[in-house]
Amino acid sequence: MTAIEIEGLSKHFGDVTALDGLDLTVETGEVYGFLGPNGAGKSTTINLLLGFLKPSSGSATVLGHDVVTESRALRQRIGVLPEAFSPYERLTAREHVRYAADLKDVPVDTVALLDRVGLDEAAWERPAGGFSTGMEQRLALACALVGDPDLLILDEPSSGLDPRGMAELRDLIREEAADGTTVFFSSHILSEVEAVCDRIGILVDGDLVAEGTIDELRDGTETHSPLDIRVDVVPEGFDFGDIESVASVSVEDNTISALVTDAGAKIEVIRRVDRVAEIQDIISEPASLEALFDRYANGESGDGVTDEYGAESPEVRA
Amino acid sequence: MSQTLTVARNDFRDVRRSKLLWGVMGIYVVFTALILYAEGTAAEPDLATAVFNQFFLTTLLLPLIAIAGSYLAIAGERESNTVAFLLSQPTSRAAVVVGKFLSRSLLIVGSLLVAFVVGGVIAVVMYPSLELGVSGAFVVLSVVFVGAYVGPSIAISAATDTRSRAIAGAAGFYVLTDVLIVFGDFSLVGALRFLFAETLGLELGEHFYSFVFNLTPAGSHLNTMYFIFDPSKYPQLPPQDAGQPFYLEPWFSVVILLAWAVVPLAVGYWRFRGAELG
Repeated sequence: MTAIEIEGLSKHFGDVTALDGLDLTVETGEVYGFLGPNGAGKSTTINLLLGFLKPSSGSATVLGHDVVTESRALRQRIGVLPEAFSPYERLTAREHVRYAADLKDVPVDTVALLDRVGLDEAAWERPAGGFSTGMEQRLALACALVGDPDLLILDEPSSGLDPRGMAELRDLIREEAADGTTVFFSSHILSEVEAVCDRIGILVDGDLVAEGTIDELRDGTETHSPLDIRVDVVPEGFDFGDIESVASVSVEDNTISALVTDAGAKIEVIRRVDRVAEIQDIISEPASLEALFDRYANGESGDGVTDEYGAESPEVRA
Repeated sequence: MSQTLTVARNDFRDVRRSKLLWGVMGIYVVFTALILYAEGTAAEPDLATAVFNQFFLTTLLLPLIAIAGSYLAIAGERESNTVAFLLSQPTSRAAVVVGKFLSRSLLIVGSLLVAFVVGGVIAVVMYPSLELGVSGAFVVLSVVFVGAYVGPSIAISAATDTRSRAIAGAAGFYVLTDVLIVFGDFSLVGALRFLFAETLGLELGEHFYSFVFNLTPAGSHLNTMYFIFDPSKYPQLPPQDAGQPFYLEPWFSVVILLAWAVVPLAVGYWRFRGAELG
């Protein structure tokens, strides 16, 4: 049983392509981290799932309901923390939760929910117009949890939360997941999704460039580790072109940076440099998911699919 | 249906806490009181005369209040993004449009009733009779008139996504269907008459121009005055043609007013249903 099934989903706004043939599957019960830099198309995807936007092409189902033709039935079964949640200024926190429950036509224990999301009790009867961003996010989360939904869609849930709030959010997501709730969670910050997600998909420029469990993604990045060599004077005309495992090379100031697809090739690179220049320092970094994501988030999009990323990517670490 | 009432109840709860809106609606209460007080100081105060004046004032002022109380109902939610909360729930967009219409109508009718209660107290104190036949009919016709402006205002709000577009649409609607209708010499009907009769030489007959007048909410509201007032006693009211067609009769004006409440709302819903958010 799949919770979210997206097939060839595209969305164009005039000439701008926000989403380009996205294929994505989220299985029931998993916590899926939908990661990508701002403007990558994460919110567009979620807005398509919620029926706020209409697909230009492709299709998607949520809990088996088509996002275009069965939007209301779909929204009955999910809980949503929307992008840039904005409360009604003159309604109190309790009134918001009650409103959501009435629209869903389900019973609700407002006190238990507001308590669970950690909204200060003093704020429960206050109009939400005076709430801080963090309080608004907590209120939004309480509204999303109304009716114990089968699937939670959280669009940048941690924006506006302080570190303690983020930790509480992670605990709450874990509790929900332990309960069997599927969680689809978008973020532009890797460390957030890394801590709670079973699987991660990285979206860049409307395209899924990498997908897998944390371990799979880490394994993938091991074939792509950076090596920086600082020398006294950068020599002319050195060349690693004949070493197959060197994906790319660049020079900045006195540092030669290479990206190797096989860590074993690092020593050969160092030997070559040592022959033509005096090495002052060598920095060999382990492959990391952060490095991978940073490259994507910095806007250098790879063109590859799941297991090919990096293999032919031209970019180079500075 | 219950979802429509849920939207209406929560929207009403939200909007009745708006002090700005209460200020706007207080204007109508103040004007009502002033008109009744002014006529009440006459040597022989006549409530029917006061209601006659109040009727004209209502034609001009009530649409402004209805528009001020409604134009942001949906466009405002889209601008502030509270609509994301609303439509993240299994809310139907029809429930949003109809629910908003109900709550804003209730709001305006509520303030109207406050004005009439204040007016009623003044009438009891200063006038010989409450003349319930006249004042009661006026209250009912005013309530119908509220719908004829709340409906289009909600429709404009449903069809626009920002505050500025909603206000431009609502202001344009007010000017076209009220200001440019009420003042006879400088009105849309006058412009049509100039175009067809004097420029093109077409003889369309008086009934045509009267019908155009009667098609607008302000025009049909004024036409319902014949329910209450006899033109022979009120020289400001032009005499009615004995053999006039049904579409100029006051009862047909009520049909037109009800259509103004409902038809634009359907168009607004149709636009909102197809609208993309975010």
